[in-house]
Amino acid sequence: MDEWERIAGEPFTLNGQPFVSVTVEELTAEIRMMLGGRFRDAQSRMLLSTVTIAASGIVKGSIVTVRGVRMRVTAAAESDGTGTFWIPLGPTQIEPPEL
Amino acid sequence: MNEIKRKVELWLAAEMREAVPGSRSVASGGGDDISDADEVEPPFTFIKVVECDEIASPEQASGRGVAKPGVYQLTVKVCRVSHIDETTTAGHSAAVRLFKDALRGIGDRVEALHGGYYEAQTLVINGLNLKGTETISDREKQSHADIVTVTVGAMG
Repeated sequence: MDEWERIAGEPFTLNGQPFVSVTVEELTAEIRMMLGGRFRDAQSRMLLSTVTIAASGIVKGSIVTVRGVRMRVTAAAESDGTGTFWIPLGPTQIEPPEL
Repeated sequence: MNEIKRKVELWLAAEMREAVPGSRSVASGGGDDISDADEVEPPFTFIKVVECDEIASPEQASGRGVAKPGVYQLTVKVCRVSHIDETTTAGHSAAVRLFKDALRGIGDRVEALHGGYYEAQTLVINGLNLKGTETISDREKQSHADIVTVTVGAMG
């Protein structure tokens, strides 16, 4: 995927159910720093309408499949001020705590 | 000592995978059902030997003598690793209980059989005792571990 790629109407699945996002964006290190806050550790973000959020039941911790990749919603949705919401996405894999 | 640590980790990983059907278990060095233990999708069992004491040194075969395996006591941390957000879910404590019961079951079986030989690892297990439990959370890694410390007596 190209950095900062926008593809309108990107499909995703949650619990096996198909939904459509407004767009998906891959986040570069520079963009993550610029966005800060809940996007600081995100690999990408997905823009969803309120209808899709309500229909899908997506929340922090949900696992979605976008472009064939399983990703975890790493924080609560953030409004973009126009009635749609950005969802930060990160990897589903984690490292064990240091023992 | 690294060899016996590795053998015990792989043995326990296999035992835990069998004891909790559908679960994933990894040794600290990876190389079991996945190639790298550093990045796995939770929940999974993570096994790490944290101490290894040599009770008797291994002896090489010489002349007509027969090689003897070393005897070791190992302290092992067996962890159920979950995402830090999952610790507040309804199923978490039940899953942790299942994990601990599975480990206790392995210990009971080893005791009932007075140990056992595990051909895949050419490893003899003489005993497994549960010593204590703890939990660790790492906000930066977004991970949480419910840990059971066990001591294992092994020859290999």
